[in-house]
Amino acid sequence: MIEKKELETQREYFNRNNSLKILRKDFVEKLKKSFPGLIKKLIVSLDQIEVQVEKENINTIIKLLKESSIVKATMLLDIVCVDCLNIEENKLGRYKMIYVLNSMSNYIRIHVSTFVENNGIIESMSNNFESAVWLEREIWDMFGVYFTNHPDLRRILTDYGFSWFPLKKDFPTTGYIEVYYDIYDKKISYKEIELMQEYRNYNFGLSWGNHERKVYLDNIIND
Amino acid sequence: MININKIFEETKVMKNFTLNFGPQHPAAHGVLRLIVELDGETVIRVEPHIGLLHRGTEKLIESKTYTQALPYFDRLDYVSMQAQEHAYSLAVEKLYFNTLETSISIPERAAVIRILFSEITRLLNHIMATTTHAMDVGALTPFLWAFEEREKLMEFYERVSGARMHSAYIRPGGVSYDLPIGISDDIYKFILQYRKRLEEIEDMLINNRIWKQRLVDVGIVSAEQALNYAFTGPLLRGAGIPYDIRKIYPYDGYDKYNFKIVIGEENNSYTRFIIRMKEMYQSLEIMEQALNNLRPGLIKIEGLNLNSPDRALIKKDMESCISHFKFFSEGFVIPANEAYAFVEAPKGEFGVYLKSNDTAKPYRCSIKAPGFLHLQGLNMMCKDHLLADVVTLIGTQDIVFGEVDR
Repeated sequence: MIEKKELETQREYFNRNNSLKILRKDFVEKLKKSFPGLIKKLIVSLDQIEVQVEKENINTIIKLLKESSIVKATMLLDIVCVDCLNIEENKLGRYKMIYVLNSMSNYIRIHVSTFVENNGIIESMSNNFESAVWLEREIWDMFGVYFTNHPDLRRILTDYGFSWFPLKKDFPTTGYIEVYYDIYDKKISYKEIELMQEYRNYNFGLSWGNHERKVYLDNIIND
Repeated sequence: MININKIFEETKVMKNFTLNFGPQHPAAHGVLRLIVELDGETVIRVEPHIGLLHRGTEKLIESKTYTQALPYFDRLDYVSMQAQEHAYSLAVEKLYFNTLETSISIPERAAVIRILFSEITRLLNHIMATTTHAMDVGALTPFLWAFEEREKLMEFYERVSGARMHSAYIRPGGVSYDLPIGISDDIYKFILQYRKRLEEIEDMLINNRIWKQRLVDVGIVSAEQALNYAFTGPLLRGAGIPYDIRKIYPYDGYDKYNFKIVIGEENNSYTRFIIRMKEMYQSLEIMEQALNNLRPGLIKIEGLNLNSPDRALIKKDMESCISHFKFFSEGFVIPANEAYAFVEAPKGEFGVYLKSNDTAKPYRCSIKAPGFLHLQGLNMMCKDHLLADVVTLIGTQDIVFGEVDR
């Protein structure tokens, strides 16, 4: 057990801070060249790169990102799924999937995103990354997005015998069933949910704060 | 003469034994249910059943304003509270400022206080992780010693926010209150004496024969496996990969602090225990530097609707009074955008994805908990170990069910 001085990272980190912009520009260009035709859209923001691809190409591109020597995206840290039912992105597909990759060679976050239509299926990432197995199980559990070639696609977080997809936007926060202890049968059982009062969701018309924000930003610009 | 047929008839078919572990087991660190398949005493397969503490945090946050959603993050990993508040606050700030297309940062003093308390949180978590691990394996004394210290740290939490554990102290735009008088001195005194306590605990464990027998060479994870399973925190650093978000993606000015990433060579349970102990020393160093960097100043961004106005102003100024009411009843609106923020929580990388849709409530909040991915690797780590080692491995992964089940 040695407490190593991580000179390597220190140096890398300082270099990174100095030439961050050049590096990223370089990186993005290389990325564009490496995958001709596969990338639908490339959004470069301050600290991450978002690569939008078609659903069919997702496995190919992530495999390429993993194996390419300039990216070396060897970690799949998270898969985010968004149900776009009530927002604009619904035109592109109901579910937005974001694969959060970490590039180990130059420490850049790459978000590979794609859209899956309602009741759609998408290929599993588990043959590239072992970490995808549970992440995909969770998405199947919460959203009902089906993954093909998944080794073990079962529900993970919800109760045994649960049959809805709770993070869908059309699933009510209160749910449909509740659990109670039946004192006569002496066992736990389920019944339809009974609410003492109706579920309240306050949505105000919202315009507050814009003026203050504008004044604040104007002041900054004037200074 | 030996009757061969008879021998074959008597040969018994050996079957693997399947054992149910938990969900109410003290060594399961909460409500973990494991289905353990055993061959004699050797573990063949471990299948975790999780979700017994699933509270639907992500769904609940969708119907709360950005401010109301914050306390949920205390309750995820309930032994490292403020690290998660920090992640959420960073995500909201990122979302807010990215949509405004400005690069405002929180005040210097607020950033220093955040780092100070993030490191206090790291101590809290590592005390819990190492000593309860020791307790699972059979050493009770370090637990009793260190929890004395843990109580002192919680007192700092209490003095600063009013709550021992679920403090809701780090908020979008800064921190909620300024430090009370005298707390910096007390934290400094704590740092001085805590080094000695740590040494005592190390004396108890590092060369302890039983402790080493139970931990060394148990649960070896190679660097390749750790990356493949997306392990973060001590589980990845133990394999010799210097992946620490405080260094490689610095947030809130962590780049101004001088500290080392502690890495190990062979990633077994003992290595990870030592990494956690050494990380506590590094945390103490960061805390000391943070105390030195503490200057008078603002503790939250003022003038924006990102946080509530100062208490003193509410009493004097009508506009502030209105803002205060509007802030806590309606919240603030963020135009449609998305952001992903992550911090180095004590257990590993904790990430928050937020998507706004021009209302006061997040459209989607996805939480990436390190424990979820660590627990996935339990099967890989347990393979070919003895049943008793399963407890060691749950301890070394530092599982807390609040964050695994969310």
